[in-house]
Amino acid sequence: MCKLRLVLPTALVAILLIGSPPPTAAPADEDARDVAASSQAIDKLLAGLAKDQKVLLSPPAGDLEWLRRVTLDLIARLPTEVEIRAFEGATGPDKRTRRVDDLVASDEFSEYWGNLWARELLERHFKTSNWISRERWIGYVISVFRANKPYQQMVREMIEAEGDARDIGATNFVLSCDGDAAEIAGTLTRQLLGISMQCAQCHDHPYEKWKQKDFWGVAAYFARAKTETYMVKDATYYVLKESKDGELEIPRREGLRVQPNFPVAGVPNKLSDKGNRRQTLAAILLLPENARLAEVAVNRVWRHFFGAGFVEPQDGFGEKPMTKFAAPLRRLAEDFARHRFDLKRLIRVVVLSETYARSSVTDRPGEDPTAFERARVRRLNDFQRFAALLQATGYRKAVLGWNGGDEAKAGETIAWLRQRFVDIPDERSRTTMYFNGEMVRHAVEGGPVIPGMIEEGLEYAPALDRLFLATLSRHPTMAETERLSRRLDEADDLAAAYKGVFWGLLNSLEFQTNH
Amino acid sequence: MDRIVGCTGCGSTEHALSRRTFLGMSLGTTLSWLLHSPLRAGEDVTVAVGRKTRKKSCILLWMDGGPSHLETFDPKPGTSDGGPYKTIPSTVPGLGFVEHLPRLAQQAKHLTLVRSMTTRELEHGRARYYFHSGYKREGSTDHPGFGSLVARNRRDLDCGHLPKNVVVGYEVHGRGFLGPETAPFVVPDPSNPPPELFWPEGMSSDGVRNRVQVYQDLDREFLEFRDPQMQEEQDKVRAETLDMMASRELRAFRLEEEPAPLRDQYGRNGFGQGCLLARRLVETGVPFVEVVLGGWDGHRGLHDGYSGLLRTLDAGFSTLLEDLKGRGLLQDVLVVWAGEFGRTPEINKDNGRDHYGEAFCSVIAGAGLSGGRTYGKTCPAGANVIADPVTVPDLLATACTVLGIDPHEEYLSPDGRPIKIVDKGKVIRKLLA
Repeated sequence: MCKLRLVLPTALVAILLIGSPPPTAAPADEDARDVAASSQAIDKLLAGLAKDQKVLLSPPAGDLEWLRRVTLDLIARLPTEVEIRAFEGATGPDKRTRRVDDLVASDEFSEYWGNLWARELLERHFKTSNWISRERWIGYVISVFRANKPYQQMVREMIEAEGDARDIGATNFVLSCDGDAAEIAGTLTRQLLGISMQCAQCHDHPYEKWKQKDFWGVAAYFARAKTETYMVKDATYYVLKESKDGELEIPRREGLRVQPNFPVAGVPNKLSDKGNRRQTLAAILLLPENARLAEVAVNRVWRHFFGAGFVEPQDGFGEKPMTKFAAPLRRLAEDFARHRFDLKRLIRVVVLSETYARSSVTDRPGEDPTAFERARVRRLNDFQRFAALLQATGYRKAVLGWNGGDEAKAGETIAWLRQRFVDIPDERSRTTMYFNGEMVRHAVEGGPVIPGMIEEGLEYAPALDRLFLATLSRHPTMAETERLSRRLDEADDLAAAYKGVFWGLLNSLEFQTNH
Repeated sequence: MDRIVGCTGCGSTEHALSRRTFLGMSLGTTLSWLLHSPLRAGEDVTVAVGRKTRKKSCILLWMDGGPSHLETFDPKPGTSDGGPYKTIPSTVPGLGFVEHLPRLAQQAKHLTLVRSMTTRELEHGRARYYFHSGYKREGSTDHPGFGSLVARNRRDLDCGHLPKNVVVGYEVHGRGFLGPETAPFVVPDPSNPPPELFWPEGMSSDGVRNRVQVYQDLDREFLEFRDPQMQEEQDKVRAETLDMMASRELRAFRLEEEPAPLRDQYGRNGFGQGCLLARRLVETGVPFVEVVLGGWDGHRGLHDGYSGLLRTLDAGFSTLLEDLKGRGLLQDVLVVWAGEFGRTPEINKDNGRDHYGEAFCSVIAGAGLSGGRTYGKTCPAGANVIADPVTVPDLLATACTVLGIDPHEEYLSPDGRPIKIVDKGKVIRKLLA
């Protein structure tokens, strides 16, 4: 969905802002105003809620604080020094809008969001399924973001798809449950409807209204999904099809057949038999009466940027979500639906809001925010952590150097390294990586940064500035410069002292979190 | 206490060093196991546990993929689908072992072969989950694995700041909803422990302290008006990690300190060296180590793959028993050999066996339990349990009891529901004897 962009005099700045091809299109002023109006509506509702709760709104975050946060949230890495200086130097009331638009249009954005959602949507099946083609699934979700496919269309494809898992990426959603109808029902209701009803798999839900037949009613839509397999060498591959017949019986209650049944109140349960069952389900999911679809998507996106959704947990919508954020949730969901479920637009609305731009500083430290009155301090996720270390330690550059400038080979090494970082379950291992992992060691012990600074004969202040920009994406405060300069001054071994500072920065919580 | 302990297998002192010199510890340090008195002869383990003796450690040898019981510990030679392996005698009269496990056959007196395991979980993921947590996998709850349960139970144990739950190979089951300190510490390659564990040469504790000051100052300012609790929590993890990296016990990860002949005896492969690492870790007091050996999922050409696997298993498992015994450790360590299910008694059209749960086997050893025996029986074809069935929770409940954990103790899951350590499952008294 490209719109023409007015090339501003700061086009050169715009080109420098991201390492990817220069922006070719721009939202028309009207579109930008429309997005701003949506953001403001949400801001107003949330400010009202904060006031009701007698909670102070935190001040806006500074430019560089905002830039770091938005870069991490949109493309899972830190801003480069070039990007930081360009942003600092840029002028105009819409400089943040331009930055966001460029980030959202980038390849890095679709790769990150594609990878994230590919994992979220499949839940643990992403790791455990024996039937799926992970690569193809990730590729599919990336393509959704790259083309900015409307969310509804993606949902329809995920439900209806037929074909070879290695060709038709969308088939992998259904295939991921390895043929277990109960798992499909559970995953679908959680991920697309925000409902946790898997207790009802074996018995009527203990406290919500779901009965066992409600749960199996959802599974029944998949009763005719069939798979065929074929072998290539020793590996088995899966093809998803829809057959003309087949009924679902509740396990261990033989003979009790279930008819397809949609569990969300107010949504017509049966449509006239449009094609096959999965198509029917997709059609029901997309009905305008099913506001839940948009609400859950909005909640997911909101949660990405704030660390908490309007509804928590994500599958806590139940029959009707008990949340004090019902108004902004509904408003944003309607906005999303009205704009054809445009995901990139939704993301822009959230990211360009005042709410998102608030500082994480608070007059009530130690208490969780209750009304999005401030930004949270959040741990970096696996993607962000790896990218941050790779960049701040200069390791990426080093790998490139060791491979003689060969980007492709360097890319392989980096991909292999990334494997070690993804899904580290153990706090201790994560901590040892920060304390003493190869990237940190390179930066601090073996790399060129410290020797370079000393050789250049840099004064303490500019040297510290360089280190802070590389790690914390900001300039040091006067107090920090003073304190650390004193430390450098008092040290016998200047190089060792610089190493200590570099190491300390990489191990600071400011570096290791998104704030 | 500077006793030199020789290997009880051959009497050599080459591969059993003085405890004191091995660990480089002085008498003053508390290695409580040195002070532990073994079980009084004939004493019931549960009574001993009641007496509050030192709790035992556990080594789980995890056979990933579902090892066939007919080709491991419940052979049926001479039956139509019994397979091509011959049976050899063991040191226990009447107890035959598969020909590819000759060294284990020598160690038969230490083993209890539980031949009557039975399960209904036949999909790898679900079955692994079930065996490690004692619970069936359902959509939302993430149950903790056995190692994490042990780590939780031993939260007050001092084992030199080493992680209390270690897995050699890869993580099969994680900590679920238990705290991060119970997460399995993964050692992918025991011969090359994670390099991050060891500070570079020349890094002194002063040097570390100096650097730590830098981030502590930064953190204080950063979090003062944001989230001071985060600093507290992180400092706890970081302090534990720093302690671990500074501890002498960390040497347990350095297998190069072991004599080459012993390392050869264990087998120069991930599993063999993993067993050796497990011995060193339990020696240091780590309460749970899992060593993974995969490749048992023999749907086709099973016997081609298995001969190598069995040899690997034979070397590692038998040497582990010998070594533990030689160091006087065996009575303090429960060794469990298991996989998630067994394999079909019929050989399929691809010369393999498929997943099977009606009957399969596991093995326990050590911890002062009797050995040289079988528990439970299968029919002549190995298809059904005909005596003393043992479910997966039964085995776990029994293992818990040996380790001094009450399997029926309740604790709270994150959604507030009280859950037992092991869901259902009865303790099998006969196994505790």
